[in-house]
Amino acid sequence: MTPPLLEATDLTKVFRLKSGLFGKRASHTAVNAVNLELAHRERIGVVGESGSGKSTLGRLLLGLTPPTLGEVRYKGKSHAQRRSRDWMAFRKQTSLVQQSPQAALNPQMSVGNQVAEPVLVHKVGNRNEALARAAAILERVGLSSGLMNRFPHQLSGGQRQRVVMARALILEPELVIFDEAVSALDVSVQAQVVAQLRSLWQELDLAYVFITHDLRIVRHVVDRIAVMYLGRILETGDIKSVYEWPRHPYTRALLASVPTMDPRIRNVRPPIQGELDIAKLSQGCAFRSRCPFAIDKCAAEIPPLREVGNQQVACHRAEEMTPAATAQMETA
Amino acid sequence: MASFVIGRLVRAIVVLILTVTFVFVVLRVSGDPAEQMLGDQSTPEALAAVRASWGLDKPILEQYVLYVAHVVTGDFGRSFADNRDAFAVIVERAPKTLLVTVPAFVLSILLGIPAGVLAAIRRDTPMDKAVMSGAVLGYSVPNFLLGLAFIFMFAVWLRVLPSSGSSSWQHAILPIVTFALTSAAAISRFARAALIEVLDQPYIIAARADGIADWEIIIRHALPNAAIPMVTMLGFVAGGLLGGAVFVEQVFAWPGLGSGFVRAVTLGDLNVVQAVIITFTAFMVTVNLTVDVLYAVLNPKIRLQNNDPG
Repeated sequence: MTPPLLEATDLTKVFRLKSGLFGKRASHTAVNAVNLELAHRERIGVVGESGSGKSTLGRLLLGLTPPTLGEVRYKGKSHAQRRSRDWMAFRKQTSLVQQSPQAALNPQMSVGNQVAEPVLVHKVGNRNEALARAAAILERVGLSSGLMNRFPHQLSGGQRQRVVMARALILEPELVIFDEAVSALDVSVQAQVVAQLRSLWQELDLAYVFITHDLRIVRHVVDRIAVMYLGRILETGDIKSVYEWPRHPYTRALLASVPTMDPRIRNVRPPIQGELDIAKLSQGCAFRSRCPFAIDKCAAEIPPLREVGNQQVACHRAEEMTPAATAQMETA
Repeated sequence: MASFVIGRLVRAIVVLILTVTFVFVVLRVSGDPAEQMLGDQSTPEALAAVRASWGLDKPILEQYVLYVAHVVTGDFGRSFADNRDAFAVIVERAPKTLLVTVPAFVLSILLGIPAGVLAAIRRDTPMDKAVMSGAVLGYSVPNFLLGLAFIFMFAVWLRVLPSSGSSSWQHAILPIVTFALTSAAAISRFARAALIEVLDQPYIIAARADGIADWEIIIRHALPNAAIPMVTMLGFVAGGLLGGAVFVEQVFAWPGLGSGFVRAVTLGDLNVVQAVIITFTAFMVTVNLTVDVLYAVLNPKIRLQNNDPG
């Protein structure tokens, strides 16, 4: 059996925080024992609110920051085993598209040079070939190659995001991490970029992880979804199963909070209250302090991720959740 | 870009004119120059004679117009103290000041920027902490105090370098090092902060994700962007060197503009004081203009201002 394209096992990242010169040492577990698999050409969405550890997960997957525990394998090879030449091969096949298109481009480099840079770094072609490829990929993401001599500040937000995408895709990578890639854009521009991404995926041999807090967008661009909360995956499965019958109270709350265009459907009660509570992490379910379904067991025992219905859920009461309870969710 | 530079040039000239006016007014208001020269025991006749011979008896507006007219042609008047051309005093002393400040400036950049870059790249390591502790120390000690410490150490105790004067190249070493170390401390702190700011930007993370080598990221992506705030800061440092010259030249009895300025103020030598201030101002204005032009060259947002309004 061929190994999956990308495989994360027990992936954990602990950040050490120190306050002041003699301050107490504290730590924050941004990613907590995450398991994730991605097949060739597979598309997975990672959703969660800010602080859930989804961006850290993206950086761990690309080996941009070392894990505290666990490992990431790409095509069967662990990041920990990579030497510099293996890293170059990995970097050539993978890309990162980040939030805030303003800051994701070097303000001092022209668009053409910036998009062409990976070609030169990986010695795929000379300067002229690199610029020709840059022009081609810019047109492929829907930009005129006439923008090549422009600088980032001369572009609109949507154009910049396409430039970032062009740079990420110029070497036709097999794996891309989109980290809040469209979150900073206007809704209409988001729709264009999403449509572009869908058609690019058809043409390219591409698998991706789409990290976002936006549940409306993610369903249009992924096959599977993983819901993160305080560094843990609480629920994962096919996008269709999860949206139709979310089994975790947190997923249900997230889906219920998605604004809908239908005026007959109102989000009557605020589904969850309070904020992320890091102090509750040490024992029991991380979500219990905000969970309307919490019972004593939730404080005592961390619910493991287990098969329930068509998906995997980390909730002691997953079986009790009915699809009817999500009637207010947008189904269109 | 051209209109940007012309705009800055006009501003520089306005600053110069305002400074000449301001200095003229302040110095006339702060006391009777004739009395400062002769002392308060002098007879009214002597005072009147001095006033007449220096043109100080004319109405102040007429004095001002005459003064400006002369300054424009490069005539700063004569030194009250020794009757020499005030401009000749500048011409004599300015090279001495440059002899100390220019090498000090270059040395402080050569020391400060690599130290700051190293600290930023090795952030939160013992290397970073060592460099920054040294920088805080150098930044906290006033340059005249450091100068005195150096005189004590190298001239009095080790007896390897002369303590004061300017008769040989060895005399320049201590003033240069004193200047360079205090400026390098400030530069390294700033360089570290500027580079760290840039290194946290998403385009640096993107460059790493693209497989660009760390040293290449520093040179091609990080340093050019960190250079923009650095240029502004180096302008301040260059200006600070002149201010510092007043102290350091005094400590080392170095016959430059700084000690010349102190001497002229003590003697009430109005025309020389004015000439030195105008020279300092001209220098500062030139530095600022250079900073603005470099800023425009480095920053495409300013460089391309007129080509594209978007």
